[in-house]
Amino acid sequence: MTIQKKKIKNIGNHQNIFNHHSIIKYMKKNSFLIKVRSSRKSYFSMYLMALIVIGILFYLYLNDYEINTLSLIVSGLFVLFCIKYVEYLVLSDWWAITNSSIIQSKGIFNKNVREVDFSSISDLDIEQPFIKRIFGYGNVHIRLFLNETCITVKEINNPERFMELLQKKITKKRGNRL
Amino acid sequence: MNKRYDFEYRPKRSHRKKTMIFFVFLLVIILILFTTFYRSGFSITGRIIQQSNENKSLTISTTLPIPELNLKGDYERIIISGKSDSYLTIGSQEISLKDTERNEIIIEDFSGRIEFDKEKISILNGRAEKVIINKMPITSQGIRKMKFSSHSEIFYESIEFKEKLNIKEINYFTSGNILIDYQNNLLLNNDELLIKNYFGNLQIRNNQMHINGLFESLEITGNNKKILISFKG
Repeated sequence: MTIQKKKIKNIGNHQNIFNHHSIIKYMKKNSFLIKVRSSRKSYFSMYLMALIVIGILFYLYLNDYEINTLSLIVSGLFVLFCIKYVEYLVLSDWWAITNSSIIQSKGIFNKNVREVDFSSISDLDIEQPFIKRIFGYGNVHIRLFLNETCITVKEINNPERFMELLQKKITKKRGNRL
Repeated sequence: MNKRYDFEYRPKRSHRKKTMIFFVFLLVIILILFTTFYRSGFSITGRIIQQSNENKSLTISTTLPIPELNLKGDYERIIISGKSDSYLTIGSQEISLKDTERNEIIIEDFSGRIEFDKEKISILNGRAEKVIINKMPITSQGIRKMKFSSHSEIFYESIEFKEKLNIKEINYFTSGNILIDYQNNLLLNNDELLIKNYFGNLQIRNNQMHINGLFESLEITGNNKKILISFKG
């Protein structure tokens, strides 16, 4: 916790960087109010490609076409890759809201965790085109005061709920300070 | 700007990955369709093996009793004749072979499986471009070959394959004469015959199997004798 405090002091309480172990410690201390991952719906195209390959193979099998072993192996590997790759992408990134900050974690093997205090957030917006609205998922952009970049909470289910909770918590914290 | 936090870069990379995956998807589809519909022209080793067979083989010419054979592949033309009570499914049609005294079935451009013994064809299943039953032709409509199958056993008198075919193994107990390389005559008397990788003509008629082609190895095992002929060059 000493190292953690040092970093907070250096950065000035706007962006706190934690290593993997300190974030676990942090998680134990501050329970997440909400933790979200990208929706599997956003990888619909990958599932569709896998389904098309399975469909073609099934059609050929039903119509007694002899399927080449090489193409059977290649298509099997492709379908497996599509499913596993989506799982990898979904599990690799997550975002969480605590009582005083938002945490973003990216990657499984190369982990990159970032915590942003509510006081450094300037504005929030939802990006939800028509198709994403139909399926009920979208992006939430969290813009910061000091940095030109923004945190994008990508392709989450029910982004309105996430933004409402975030807004509520930001208002509450800023209200307490006042 | 600290690039470590610049997550705006990531969507571009993921878009590139998605495009790559889509191209792989297209390649998989092309591979499936190509290997299924143009299978005869797509063989990585088939032609090489076939060519090398002609250089590394011995010739065989014989007339022997009919063994039980199970063949699978592409055949240019198969002519089957005989009397049978079976039904055939050709495309969406069902054709009875009952009504005619002696049936002649010509199957053109056949891909599939044929299994027979000395009396009957037990399995005849696959796809064909054209079928002529007792001079009545049935041709496939469209690009796809017609589904062709028999409902029950077809009793036959003769089967003739128009082109040379490849049989991996012929193994059975038989009697007769075998002529090897047009000069050596081998006599079989209820001995076990094993021919490996035969490539040549095959005709089944008058309860005899006539073969004339090339083989890689031949083994005869009988009472107190064992003959092994194998190409070594």
